[in-house]
Amino acid sequence: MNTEKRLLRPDMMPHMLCPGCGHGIVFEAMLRVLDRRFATLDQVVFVAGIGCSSRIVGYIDAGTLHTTHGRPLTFATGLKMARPELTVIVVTGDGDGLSIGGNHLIHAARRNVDLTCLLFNNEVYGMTGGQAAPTTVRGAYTSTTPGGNRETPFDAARLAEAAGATFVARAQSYRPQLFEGILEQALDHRGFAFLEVLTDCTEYFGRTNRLGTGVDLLQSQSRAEPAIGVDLAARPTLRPVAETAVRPTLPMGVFHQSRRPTLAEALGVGGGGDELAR
Amino acid sequence: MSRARRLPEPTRPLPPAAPAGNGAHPTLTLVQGNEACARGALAAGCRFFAGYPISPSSEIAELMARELPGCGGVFLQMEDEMASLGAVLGASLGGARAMTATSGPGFSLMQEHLGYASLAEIPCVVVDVMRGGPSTGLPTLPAQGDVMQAQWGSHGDRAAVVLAPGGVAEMLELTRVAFELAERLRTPVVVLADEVIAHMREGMRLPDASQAPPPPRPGPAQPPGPAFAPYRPNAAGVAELPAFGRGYRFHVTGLMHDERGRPTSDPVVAAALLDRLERKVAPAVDLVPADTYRLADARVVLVAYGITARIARAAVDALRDQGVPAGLWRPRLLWPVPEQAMAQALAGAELVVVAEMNRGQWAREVDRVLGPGVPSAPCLKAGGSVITAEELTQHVLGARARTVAP
Amino acid sequence: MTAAAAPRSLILAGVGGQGVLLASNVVAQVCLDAGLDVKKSEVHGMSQRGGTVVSHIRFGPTVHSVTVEPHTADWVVAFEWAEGLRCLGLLGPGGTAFISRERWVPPSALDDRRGGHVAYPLDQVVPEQVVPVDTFTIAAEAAAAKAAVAQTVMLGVLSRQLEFPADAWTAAIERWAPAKSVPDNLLAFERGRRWEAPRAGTLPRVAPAPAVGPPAEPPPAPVVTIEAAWCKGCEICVAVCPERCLVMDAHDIAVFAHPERCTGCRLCSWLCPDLAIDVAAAAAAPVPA
Repeated sequence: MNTEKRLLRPDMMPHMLCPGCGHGIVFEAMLRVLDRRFATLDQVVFVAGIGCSSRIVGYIDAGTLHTTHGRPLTFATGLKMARPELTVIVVTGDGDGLSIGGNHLIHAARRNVDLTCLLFNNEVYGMTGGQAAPTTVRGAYTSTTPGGNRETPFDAARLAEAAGATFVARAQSYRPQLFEGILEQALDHRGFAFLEVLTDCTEYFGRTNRLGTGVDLLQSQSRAEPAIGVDLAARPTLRPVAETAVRPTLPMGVFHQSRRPTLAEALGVGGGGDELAR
Repeated sequence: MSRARRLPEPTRPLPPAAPAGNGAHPTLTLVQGNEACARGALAAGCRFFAGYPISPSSEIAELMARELPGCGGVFLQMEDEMASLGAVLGASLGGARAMTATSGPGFSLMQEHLGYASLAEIPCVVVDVMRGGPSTGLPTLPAQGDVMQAQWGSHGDRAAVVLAPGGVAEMLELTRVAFELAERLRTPVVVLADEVIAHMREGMRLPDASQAPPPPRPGPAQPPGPAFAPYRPNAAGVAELPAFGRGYRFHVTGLMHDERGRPTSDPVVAAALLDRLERKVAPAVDLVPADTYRLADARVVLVAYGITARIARAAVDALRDQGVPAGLWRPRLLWPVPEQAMAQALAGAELVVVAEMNRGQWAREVDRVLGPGVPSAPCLKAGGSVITAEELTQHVLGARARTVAP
Repeated sequence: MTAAAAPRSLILAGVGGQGVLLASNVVAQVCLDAGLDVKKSEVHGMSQRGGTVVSHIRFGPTVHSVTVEPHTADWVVAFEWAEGLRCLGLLGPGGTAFISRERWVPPSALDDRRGGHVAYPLDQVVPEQVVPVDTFTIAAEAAAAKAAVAQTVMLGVLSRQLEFPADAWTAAIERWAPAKSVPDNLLAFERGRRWEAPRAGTLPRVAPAPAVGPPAEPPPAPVVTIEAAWCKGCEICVAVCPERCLVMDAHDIAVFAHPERCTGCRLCSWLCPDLAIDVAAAAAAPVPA
């Protein structure tokens, strides 16, 4: 058995994700990173909201907190203040993190809470049946945009950077190795690390837009340009999102990294960790 | 007339909230209700507060912002009330005693997380200083309109624990009790105050600030390991979740779950869980007994809580002066409804008058317990002003004339 | 047109990553600086690492055509053994081929990726015109003993065949090599220029033993296991496996049908959304980026 699978709750598998769902690819890549970094996940807490991506935390043998829709960052903020020594990883989706939880995202970024926020962006509400999300590209068909989406999507990475995230990156399920490298950097970062991962919803977004199978969707991701080893000092600007029914070609890589006091540092909450609990 | 309009007497002083330190006699301090609430929280070991400004509760947040950093705690002003209670629950899962304070509109926004905390069994304290509603309503005027929201505001059948302080000193005491209940029952506890008590100042004894906070929340009796079942209840029916990062790895979810915390859609498991959550909060009725005033020989029993109970005492005195054998039963726990104690207190009454600043929210509960046999004539007033002692007295006299045979 | 005025032809060959184009730029620069007409073409259909790269250079007082016709080249200078042999058809009757003993096996030459068996022209008799050059040995004392500058050893060897002064070569290297590697390149060039080629006829006419030969025993086959209960039949593994090792069975479950082809690249495991595929440790093959 691959060593990262020691981090699973075996009785919970197989997971509930659909055939070909990109979330599963990212999930296992995340486990590989954790496998390399942690002997046990006793000091790691995953905080998730509601949605397909958020469900993956339930399969990890760690402290796992499956919260309410859109609010995982609020729980994570409180937890991190009570126990700054814990490694906190927030798993959220594009609906969870950018729509109902958009306000919490920008404020967690602004506060520079020392955690890693993984936002799985599959452009659609999968769990509720394929409705439009704030990331759905213009023209795309969903169950609530029967004539094609007329709204303009967010660029999550630019949003996070503007809100003050001190680490901003994008990866994709098509290149799990690139994702692993960026996640390592995100976990090394002290401060609010925002990592958007482009994944594919095969059953709803893929079918509704006739984009083919999970294989086809993965291959369509190959058009994205990985910008590995981006010169952080140069801070390349992100490209505007093209307005086509198919996901635009977005750059991958680390777009921004900077250092300023984390929330705990700003408040003088120590690293000893358990003052609040005493 | 002038008699009825005189200021109501202060509630009888509560026993000192904490033993006086160093043998010194504690002195009376003029304290605001909201401040008393914050002092009570601090004395109870609250070390995390997350809130969002809203009248008339803001002074609680302001005092916590001043005091918490000095005692190793954390104050956060969050982006909204959903975030506030979310952060409180996150901190609580880290092992901290945590609370938030708000008023009606914010309390509405917190309902989702109140439900979450109930189902996931996360201790916390939520103070709701009631103001006139619905909607933005009457931001600075008193009301008692959140009584039903405190129990039923969240979707589903939530087993609520809701306390109603009757004065400044009790703001402190019941906030402490709220923490004790929350920690013991592993559930959110609501302190349902009102604008008058929150903004009232009274002389009271403050607890010794140098007193050591209570010990940390105890962990579960089960050892960590693959067989660990965080939601396996103890003898009292309470699931004792450990704090995260203390050697236990477990799952917390707002989905229906089994004893291991794993999500389930099994109706049998779900029904049993709801049943247990209701049973586990039942002991609260014994832990927070009601207060009474001239009740022993009363045949006309007034039922009131919060500031209305303070006024009802004046009405009881006025009625007694006019030869009406009136008394007051003042619940300090609104939910779960202390049915037995209520039935006992009201046994033998020939008239029951519930007085509250809403359109009959708790009066329905009283009528339900009372049954059809006893005449009931609630004195209700919503719209932003308190029921005066004179109004209540006249109401009782009128009702008595209608219902009680001379 | 006199014989002396006739253009001379040079083939530079290697694989992507060896710096063939840089070397050809240096040669062309030297020729230009000497006042000669020079034309240069590059054939590098596979520009990524490991692909064949060949540069044709023709220089003289006047040059019209850039292409070196078969059997006309004066020199073949190759940085990689097999690439050098492949270019021998271009070498003229009186020409000389200087071929590095370096071996870069391109992916297309692997006929058995798992076992690492190579269809590689090692067993051929070395033609008379070939002078093998141990670039690594020659550059060994220098920090230059690495692929990126081994090419300049070959330029040093070549420079002995041409009339241009050493200064002209070093100036061209300084101009074209990346700034930080200029010292290493100059050192490597110097070593190559000083190297005495063995006299013709004294060389063993059999190819040198490969520095790293194919393993006697193929490495143990990677073990790919599929957790059938977790597989949801998305077929991603079947599509991404470069060796077509996986197929779907009648129940739409992925099956490891051709273990003999598996290189252990792990793409199936990495891209399986169901966490259903394990690849036990085996010699990792190059992974497409």
